Amino acid sequence: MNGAVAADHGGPCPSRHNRNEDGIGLLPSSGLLHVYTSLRPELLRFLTARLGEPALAEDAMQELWLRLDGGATGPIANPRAYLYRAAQNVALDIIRTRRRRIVRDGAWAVERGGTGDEPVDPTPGVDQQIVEREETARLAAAIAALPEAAGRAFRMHKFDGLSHAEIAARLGISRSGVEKHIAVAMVHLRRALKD
Amino acid sequence: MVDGRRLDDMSADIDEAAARWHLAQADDDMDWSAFTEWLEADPRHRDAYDAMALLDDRIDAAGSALHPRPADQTLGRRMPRWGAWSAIAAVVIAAVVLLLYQGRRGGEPAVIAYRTGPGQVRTIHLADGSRAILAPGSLLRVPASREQALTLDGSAFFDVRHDAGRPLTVRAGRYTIRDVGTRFDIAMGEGVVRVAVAEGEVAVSSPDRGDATAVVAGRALTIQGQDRGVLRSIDMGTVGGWRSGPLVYDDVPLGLVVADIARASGTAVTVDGAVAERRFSGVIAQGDGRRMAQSLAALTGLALRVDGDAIHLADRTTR
Repeated sequence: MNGAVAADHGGPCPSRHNRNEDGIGLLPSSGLLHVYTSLRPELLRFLTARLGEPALAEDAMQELWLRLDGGATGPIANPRAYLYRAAQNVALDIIRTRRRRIVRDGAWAVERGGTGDEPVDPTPGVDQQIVEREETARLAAAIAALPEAAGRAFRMHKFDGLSHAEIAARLGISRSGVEKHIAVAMVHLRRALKD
Repeated sequence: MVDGRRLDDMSADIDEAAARWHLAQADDDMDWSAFTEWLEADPRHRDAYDAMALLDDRIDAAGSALHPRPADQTLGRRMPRWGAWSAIAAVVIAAVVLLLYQGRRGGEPAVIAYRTGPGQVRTIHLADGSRAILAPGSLLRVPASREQALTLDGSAFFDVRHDAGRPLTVRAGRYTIRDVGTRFDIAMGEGVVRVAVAEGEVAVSSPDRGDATAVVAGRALTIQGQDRGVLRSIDMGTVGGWRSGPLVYDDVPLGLVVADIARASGTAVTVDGAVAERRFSGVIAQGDGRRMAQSLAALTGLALRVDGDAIHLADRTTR
């Protein structure tokens, strides 16, 4: 079958990347790690740009490697895009964790760890709940106050779950126009919440 | 994307560019090198991008608190958006009190049923800020109260907001999956249920088994009938992997693979009972049912029989 391989679980993975006319892309995990190695310089550059600190980027590269190596990775069709997205997710997790520490500021003493330890009191303090409720209300008000075209595209995307292409078709505008509208909406929301 | 124009110093322009880069990641043709260069061009770009990504988290986490209409009844196909998908539900706590009020508001249906057609993927924002992403050809019933169990027929990925006081419960066939803040996948097919966990922990129980089985991050439980089930390690990246691109399997019973193909394509695809439990590892590109079934047959060495609109897979020796 033209190089299509069903990888036996636990067995050694062939390291070739095959794509046949049936659209079956096969890249066993060893292949993905191989791609990681060959893309390492550009991934590190991306993570450095993304996180702003070379040391943090190295940590992220380590984490990325562990995530890729952390199990029998299924075959991947587009390894470069996969690795960039995985790197982006690692970076976002780092940024969220950093932000969370700042936001919580001790209000939430124990974080739910990956070890299965349950926090003693995982519910945020009442003060924090009130703050967050107010923020949600502000966000809802800001969404209601969006300029009409931007607001419509934004709601179709975020609330109705439509893709950019679907919104473009419904509104009779280009996809780039849709992205412009949603971007404008996001900028408005950011402004509204910063005040 | 950024129109290739030079970004001037105005922060509005930077914010807009950041938002557009964030949106661009929904597309497969995202230009990551250009994004890197944009980030490198000015440290403010990074800050603006972070703010946009975190804002998007907040919007997703607030979910239906921002969108109190009882379920967007428009059937929307949701294109995979990686950045947000993979996101741990942001810590922003959706307005619990606000939602309690909504629950009491008159005229809201007690249960809302969400259904997806072939090839359709749908994101459902649950009242508490959790999300369920429904796979093609699936049905999810969501009661107005979180105290009551959701009922799933088909497959779905769950990204549950942490609320230890009120765990989310999902019924899938005869099994009950309880969790308090995790990301996990449920797949059903041919009498088999598989629960794969990307983050956190869930407890799976059924009427015929006294104690629940705990499934932690990086593990998947596959159970059939009265079986105790099999727990094994998985790649967490594959949990919910069906949401974007090809279906990726690692040691999954053929019965589930065939059920996925049938749901994704809307084609009646079945597998011989004798091989339904056989394990499969590999990738199947999403497409029409016949092509997907052909791919599976090619990868497994099974024989494929087309009977009108129905496709049946069986061992070559049995037929």
